[in-house]
Amino acid sequence: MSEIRIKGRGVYCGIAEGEALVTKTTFPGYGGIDPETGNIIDKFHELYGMNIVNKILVIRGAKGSSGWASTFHMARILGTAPAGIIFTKMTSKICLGIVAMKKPAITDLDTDPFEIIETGDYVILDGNKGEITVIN
Amino acid sequence: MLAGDFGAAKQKAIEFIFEYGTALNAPYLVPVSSVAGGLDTSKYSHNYYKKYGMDALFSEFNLNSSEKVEIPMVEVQTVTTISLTDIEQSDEIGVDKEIHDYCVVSEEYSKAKGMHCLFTCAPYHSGLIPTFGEHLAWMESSAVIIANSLFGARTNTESLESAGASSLSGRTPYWGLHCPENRYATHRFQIDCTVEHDRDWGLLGYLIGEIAQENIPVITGLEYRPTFDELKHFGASAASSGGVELYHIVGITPEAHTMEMALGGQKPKEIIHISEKDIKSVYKKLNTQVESDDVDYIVLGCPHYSLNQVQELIWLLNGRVVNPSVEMWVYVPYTIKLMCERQGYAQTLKKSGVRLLADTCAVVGNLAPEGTRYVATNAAKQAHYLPSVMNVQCFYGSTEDCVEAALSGKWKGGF
Repeated sequence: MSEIRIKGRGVYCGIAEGEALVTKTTFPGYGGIDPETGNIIDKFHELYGMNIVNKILVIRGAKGSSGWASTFHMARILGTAPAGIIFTKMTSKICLGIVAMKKPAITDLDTDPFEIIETGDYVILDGNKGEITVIN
Repeated sequence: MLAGDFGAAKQKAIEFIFEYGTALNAPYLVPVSSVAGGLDTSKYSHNYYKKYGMDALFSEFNLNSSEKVEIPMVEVQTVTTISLTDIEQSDEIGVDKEIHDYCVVSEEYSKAKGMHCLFTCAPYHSGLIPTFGEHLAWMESSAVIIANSLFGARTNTESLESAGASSLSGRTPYWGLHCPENRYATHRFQIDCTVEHDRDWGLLGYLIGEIAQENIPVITGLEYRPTFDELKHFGASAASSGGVELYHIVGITPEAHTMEMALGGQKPKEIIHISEKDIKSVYKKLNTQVESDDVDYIVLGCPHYSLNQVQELIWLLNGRVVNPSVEMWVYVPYTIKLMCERQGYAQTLKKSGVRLLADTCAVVGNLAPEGTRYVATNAAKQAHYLPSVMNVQCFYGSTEDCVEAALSGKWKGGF
């Protein structure tokens, strides 16, 4: 077992940990995630059929409808939100999703997270310090 | 405002905008003169409203505040985005009474707060045309890309939460596309084939969205000048497959008189050539999930149709009646529906067996005739979302292909 640390900028404060769900692509929101179950329902996305509940999403950013934030907002209310988000491309869309979801998030990383984190790795995300610990 | 001198709702609104701006790392806030947003349209909203009331619904979903505050009149000109039904036809299109009632209440609520009830993804078809350089806080990804690219206005893609907070606070973070230095193209797309009708504009947009993601494309090599409706389809597609919020076309869009102007004097990070083969691959992608050539339901009007598009449809139908096994539903803004009635288009469509619907859309309202399995559409955006949202199979093609399918009940489109 090894531990790797990545530094970045905390976008939303708080500490979260959980299993990573990784995609280098932009992530769907409205019409792509079912907030009732947390399932990824976007049939065109490579993670179709996976589930986001309590995961640490490691993603490029957000795509699609301006309802992205509403979907993650609803996921918070229904208890299906991911535990936290690590992402590489800041847009208003992903930022609003994070603020509406009120979960820790980090961006502006000093290392490419896709080189280090794989789906299933255990990740600790510290939004206060802007620090990620990857255990694999 | 932050101190609460203007009331609890404006305090919550500016707190949210501050939180949003801080998360973006924005240096300061900027005043906005127009907001496009709306009330929650999820299938949970009517229960939430019934349990807690409209002010609580607005507080939670439009201000991100779980504490209920009393909502005042909007501070800034605000128009509403797509709704869940056409309240004049809810019964006929199978909308639950609870959702219909919620839409009636939310319309009254929106009007009482001073919002303009356009209920459209295409507010520009109802007279909302921003000026060059104007700062906006708009939702609807297809409208955002038009506002930025064709009108030269400045908006990021906002959400229910931020649009609600901007409508009460009059501010948005000065970040992203509000800053002139962030509006230059980063990726050049050279089109090496002919893009000549609505089908191809949707495919090209979808392809460029997939490649560009959230970057800013500049497009070169077009053989002719696209129409506004073609660019509307192009932009909606690029904002569905990716996250494009602004593009430039040299000689056509206002921030791209020249290539140098579009790129801000920099070199593009990438030059991507687009061939007919590339466009055809997107056609296949959007059509691969179909196991039969039967068509049950045809969706037109995404983004909401213009009056010209309705007229074109009438010309293509040429008085013929759709096959009894098929339903064709055309989605328009309410203002266009009124114009269709004045022009006689609404009556002509009715005679052809075509349903004209205002205020809503197939994806957002989850609207389809009962038992629908196979959908055909001329909108790449609908072809992208419908298989996931409604668990149907989808054909994508030109308006002519869709009309042909409406008459015969069979899909005969191809590339």
